[in-house]
Amino acid sequence: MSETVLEARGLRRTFANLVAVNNLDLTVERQQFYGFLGPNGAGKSTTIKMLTGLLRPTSGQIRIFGLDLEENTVEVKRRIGVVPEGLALFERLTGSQLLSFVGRMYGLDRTTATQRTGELLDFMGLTDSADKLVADYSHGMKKKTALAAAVIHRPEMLFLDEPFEGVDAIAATTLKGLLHRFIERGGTIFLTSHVLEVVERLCTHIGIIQNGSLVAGGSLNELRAGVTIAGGDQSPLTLEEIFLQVVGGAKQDAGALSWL
Amino acid sequence: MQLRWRLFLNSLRKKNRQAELGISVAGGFFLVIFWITTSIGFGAITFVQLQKQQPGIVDILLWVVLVTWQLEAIVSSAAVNFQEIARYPISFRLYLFLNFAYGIFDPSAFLRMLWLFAIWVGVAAAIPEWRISAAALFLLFALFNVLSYRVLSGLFHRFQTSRKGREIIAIMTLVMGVFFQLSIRTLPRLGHLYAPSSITSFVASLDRISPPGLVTRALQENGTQTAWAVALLIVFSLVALAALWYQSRRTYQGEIYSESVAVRRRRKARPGRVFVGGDEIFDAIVEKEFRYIRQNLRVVFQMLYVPVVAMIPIVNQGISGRRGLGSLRMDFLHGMFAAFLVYGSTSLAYNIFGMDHTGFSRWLVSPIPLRKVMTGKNLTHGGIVAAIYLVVSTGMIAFSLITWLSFVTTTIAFVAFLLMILGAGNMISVYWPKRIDPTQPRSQVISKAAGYASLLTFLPIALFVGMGLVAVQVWELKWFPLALSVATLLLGLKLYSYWSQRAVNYLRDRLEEMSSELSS
Repeated sequence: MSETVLEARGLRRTFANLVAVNNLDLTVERQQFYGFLGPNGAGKSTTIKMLTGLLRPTSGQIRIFGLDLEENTVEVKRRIGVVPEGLALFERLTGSQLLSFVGRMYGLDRTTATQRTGELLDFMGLTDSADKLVADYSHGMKKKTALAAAVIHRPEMLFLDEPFEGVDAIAATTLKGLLHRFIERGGTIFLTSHVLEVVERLCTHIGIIQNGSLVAGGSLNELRAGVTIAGGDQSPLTLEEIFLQVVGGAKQDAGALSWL
Repeated sequence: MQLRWRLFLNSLRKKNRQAELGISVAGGFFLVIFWITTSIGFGAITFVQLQKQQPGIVDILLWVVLVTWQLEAIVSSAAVNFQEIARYPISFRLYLFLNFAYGIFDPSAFLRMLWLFAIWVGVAAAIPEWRISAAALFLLFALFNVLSYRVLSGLFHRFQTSRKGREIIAIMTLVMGVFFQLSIRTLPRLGHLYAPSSITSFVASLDRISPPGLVTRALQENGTQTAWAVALLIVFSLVALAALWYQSRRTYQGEIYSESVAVRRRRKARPGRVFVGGDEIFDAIVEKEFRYIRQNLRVVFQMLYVPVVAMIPIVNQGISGRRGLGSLRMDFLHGMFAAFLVYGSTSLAYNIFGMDHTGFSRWLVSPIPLRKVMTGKNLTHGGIVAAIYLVVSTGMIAFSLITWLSFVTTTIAFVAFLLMILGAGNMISVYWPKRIDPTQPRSQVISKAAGYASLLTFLPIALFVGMGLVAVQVWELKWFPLALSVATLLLGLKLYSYWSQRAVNYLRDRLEEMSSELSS
């Protein structure tokens, strides 16, 4: 029987006159790999910030593991792991110092934190850079460090904001391996990404947000069933085709940028 | 000019920057008064001294202009990183010109040019026949200063990109400050002694070939002497131009290295340490804060500078071994040291998230109440200040320089005011956060608003000291200061708790703004 781990109802966030997220409803079940898609500025990052306690909603309710986020912030945060937009790394610590520090922040004792730090650095291929400042890491290394920091306390659910952005193929393979392992062990992942191919390959469920509102949601097959392309062939739609159909494709004005 | 103006306008988009602008306008008013009065003073003193046939005054004032102008390269804040400008499609010639022009349209340059103009007015009024030659020479002198200023700015910027460079500059700044204070205290006592003639003649010969000395010589003398002085001044300017050209060329070609290369250094991964004991999270926060403070020694030196200077008279008296009447004064000096230490602690306490940058969001996603994060940071910062206080105070007690009653009274008051500073600091850190960039030599460690707020620190301390002195000296209530200390401690505890909670509540409502302020 499925268990709801994330439930958002009537979520709304405004910045002055701008409505970034409007009356958003979301449901994510345990062990789902939920991909949250949308065009630039659609409200993806604002939503994930609200779901992880980085931003207070203007209105609406968020329940994670059945607990109200506003009232049980500390308890919920203890059970989730987050890779936020800016990665939230203390860049003037070394990789190993950072991971050990984060582990202890989640209540791990020093021995366990040190042990898991070593294992994670090894898994991520960062052992040789363990004693370098995070500020000196490449973008891909920082992403891997941020993901390691998100899982060091063995969370039940992961929130990842654009984890594959700016990551090379080798690092991306490592990250995907870790995420697959996480799902297999009973974890749940909520991920935002611009890379539709990655989402299509990894995610079991997808939500598409546009102008702050959820415009489509469900498993990939459910989305395929709900979207048809006029005059199209009978082969299954790709996520890109579904996405473009739902949010509307880019306008192609032949006269635009004629000087280019 | 347009770039500076655009940067200024853009900086006002954030709310707290607007508040800072308001405070800057108030501060700017006093700055303008300072500019005007010093300029009038420079002009007047030049006129009076030249009337008395003392042309050496021009030399002295030009030295003031030169030294303060060049020192600005270290102390003022840079708005533009010229390494960034190099990526635009501009020719090297234009890049060099922009680098130079940036030095002209700088407030520090404006002030010095105002001073130069005032000196010129004084010269022109006293000796009208000098006015044209003085104008030309002062322009040349200003040109040399602008070029030299840009070269020094670039050098310091480059030097500060390495951790070692930053530490050396921080230590040099502290040593120079202490040396300056010692000189002020020592020189008057040496006033009755005559400096050896070899030294004075050496200094005079150096002055003759320095830019201020050359300008003065060129004004006073005629014919070949003037031509030589002007030629040498032009050579100085050309050397500065060549240095700026060389430096700009390297930056333009991307050869001047950045932080990423400079700070790389091998470190051993160690398991965490126990600081607070019994609470793993506090230990982790304290350890992280210590590591960060070690990375930014400038903050520590800013904190230590004032108390170290305050220590000078204590050590002075300790060495001279004065007791009796001196002992009462030592109690006072000890209290003064504690007060300065509390004041110095504002550089750490008034911007507690400033060094965290994007790491600030880590606190928010972690399962730790924000109040605990603040307390952990306060424990570290307060702990450092308290440790310094205890080391000095224990030494003074050990050498019987202060009485036990004074020690206990001052210590309680010290803790009370430190608590107030930390509590107020939590509020100020949330209201006016400021990203500290250790790679930028002139990055502020606290916001301007926090800087002005720190000056208010002395108000409650002055009130406390005033009440204590009146009670002891006028009413002969020897134990009153101790009772007052205890009452202040209770107030300090209450205020710390109240302000910290207010800071947390305020922070919850502006998480996004704080993150963006500290990240960008």
